[in-house]
Amino acid sequence: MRCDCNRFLQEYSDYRDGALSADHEAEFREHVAMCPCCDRYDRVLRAGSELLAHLPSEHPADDFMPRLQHRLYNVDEGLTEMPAHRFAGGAALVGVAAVGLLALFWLPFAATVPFEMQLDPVAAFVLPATEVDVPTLFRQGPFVDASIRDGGRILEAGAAIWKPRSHVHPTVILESDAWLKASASLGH
Amino acid sequence: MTGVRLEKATRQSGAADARIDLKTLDDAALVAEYLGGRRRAFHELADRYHLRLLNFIYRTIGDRDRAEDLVQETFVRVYRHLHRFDPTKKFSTWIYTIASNLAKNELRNRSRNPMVLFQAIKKNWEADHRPLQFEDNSYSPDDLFRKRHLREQVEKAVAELPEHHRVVFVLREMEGKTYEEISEITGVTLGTVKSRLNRARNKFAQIIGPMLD
Repeated sequence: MRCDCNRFLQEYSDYRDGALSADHEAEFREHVAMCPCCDRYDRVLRAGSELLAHLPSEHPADDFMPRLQHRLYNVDEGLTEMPAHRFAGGAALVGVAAVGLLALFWLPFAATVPFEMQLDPVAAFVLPATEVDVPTLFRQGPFVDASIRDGGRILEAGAAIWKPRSHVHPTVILESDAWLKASASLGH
Repeated sequence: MTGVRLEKATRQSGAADARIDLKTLDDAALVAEYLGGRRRAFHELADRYHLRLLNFIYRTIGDRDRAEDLVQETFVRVYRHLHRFDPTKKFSTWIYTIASNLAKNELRNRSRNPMVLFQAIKKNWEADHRPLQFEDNSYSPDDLFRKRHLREQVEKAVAELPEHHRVVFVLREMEGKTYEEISEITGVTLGTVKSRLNRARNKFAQIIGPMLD
């Protein structure tokens, strides 16, 4: 088969790298000598290769070998090298997993056991009627001032909305951190 | 503790180093020496290959700093798995295979983030960012300019080749590997190597042709 331009392009690498038989190589040489296009193609590639071969060589940084040795020591010591972003990702994953496990552990308890603390009753004495703060136009009432006393000492004082259930013996529930049950006598 | 252990190992191997000059050994013999307990044999291997691998990876991925990281990674992997190396094979083919795979992974990762690739290429191609180099005084300033310009264009042309073609092209044109070695390194058949190399050369000629006329 005679060498034409298509065949020359298709088998150029074999020609260039000396992988053709002697006969075929002679045909290719003959074609290159006669065809200006293929001759130019061959010349361009040879010149390009020449330029590639003389490109300035890259050199590693001065600390290349010390860094490499350091890494190899770590390998000897069995230390796992992990890139920082992978470490951060791993830590975040472990954190999320731990929170998830804790949530799974507490969820049944949170659903079934009410979180309620019963404290001992504390007597709260509502001040006499004369000392009841009179609601003003700007405050919704009725309000009572109440104090929690231990003997004569005032432990806590505050105001509460009074909603009497009975005129005789009303019970006042004071909103506080704990349940407070108090009996109040308003004096009427 | 690490340093002490290494010093001890180096001292122990020092006596053996005196017997055989590691530089005279071929790669296979160095591997055997290392597996036999001479740690310095690995350093000799690293000395032999680090420049070649740096240039190979740099031409493949186009980012010099990252190329250096990947060369380090290549040596760490070789160090870890040297005991698995098949002594009937060529060491250079094995280490190039590892380097080539790392370079391919790098390109694959970058293709998911084109901005990184663009920045890396731009950084490496801008002449202003290159370190100053001593030039050959036998050329006139015009010649020097043309020469530098041509080098940059040739580097660009290599970088413009499709990834699969570029690896084969660099291995053949710049590293001088045989078709068989390239086939082994890249894990493709001999026919594919020839086909890719031919296409890469064709494309390369199209890019640099107008500049060389």
